[in-house]
Amino acid sequence: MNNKIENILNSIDGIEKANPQPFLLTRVTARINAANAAPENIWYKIAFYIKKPLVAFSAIMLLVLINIFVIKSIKHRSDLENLAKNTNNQRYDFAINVSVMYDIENQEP
Amino acid sequence: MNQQAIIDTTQNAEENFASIVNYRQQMVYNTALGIVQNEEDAEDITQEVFLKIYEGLQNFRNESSLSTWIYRITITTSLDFEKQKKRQKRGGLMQRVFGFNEATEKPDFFHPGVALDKKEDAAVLFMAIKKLPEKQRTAFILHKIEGLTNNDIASMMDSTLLAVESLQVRAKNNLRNYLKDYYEKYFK
Repeated sequence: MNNKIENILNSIDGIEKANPQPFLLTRVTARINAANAAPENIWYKIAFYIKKPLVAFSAIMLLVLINIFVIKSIKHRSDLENLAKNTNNQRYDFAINVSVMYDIENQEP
Repeated sequence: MNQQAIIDTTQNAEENFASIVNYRQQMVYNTALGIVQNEEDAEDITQEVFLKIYEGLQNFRNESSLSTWIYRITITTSLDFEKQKKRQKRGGLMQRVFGFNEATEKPDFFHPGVALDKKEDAAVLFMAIKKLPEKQRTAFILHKIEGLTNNDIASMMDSTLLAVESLQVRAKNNLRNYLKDYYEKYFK
């Protein structure tokens, strides 16, 4: 097996150069001309930055943090609302009681 | 004629660029082909590299030789191209996150410059080369395919001669291990 592996390792010794397709210069020149002719598009620039992994990951993390913040603030607000509602109920009960007590005490016209 | 001499003596920028494309296309194409192991991709990379050269030629300050500069652009462009291609593959992210090995277990690249009787062996070797870490792969390809000396490779990779020699030794050892595993897995 060792011989086989050594043969494989030596299999690209003396490798000949491969050639690209003909008329490479023409194709490169065409690409240069196309790049020069293309107007600067702001959306391409934006897409270029957005698709960078660091930017995309940061944006996702920011969205997650905003979501956590919003969920927490909604929960906090609903706790406050519940507290206020309970207080109002207690006040209402108390008001009825007071009224009843007042009525009992003032039976005479 | 030396490429640098062409740049120094020719006045016209277009002629300079045309000379560079004509003289260096094989070098760029073969380096790219060794890294990405796909002829169409290597063709695209070659064009991309010459676009970058065209854009950067005005700012080329002879701090390194022209061929070193072109090799650097080629290597960076090829490795970036490969990363982008891997990202686009379905499940590429999961494979990277969980460290799955993405290289195929089937030799599928047949370099057009390899002799017929060695084609099969070379295909297996290229499959193993694809599994090497970037630096080891670059050093190995530049040495084996481009025939560069370790000194040249060191200046190209902004490294020392000792570091490049170490990369070559590690690359060969890793290749031996990969090939051994491959043959034990599929031919025993």
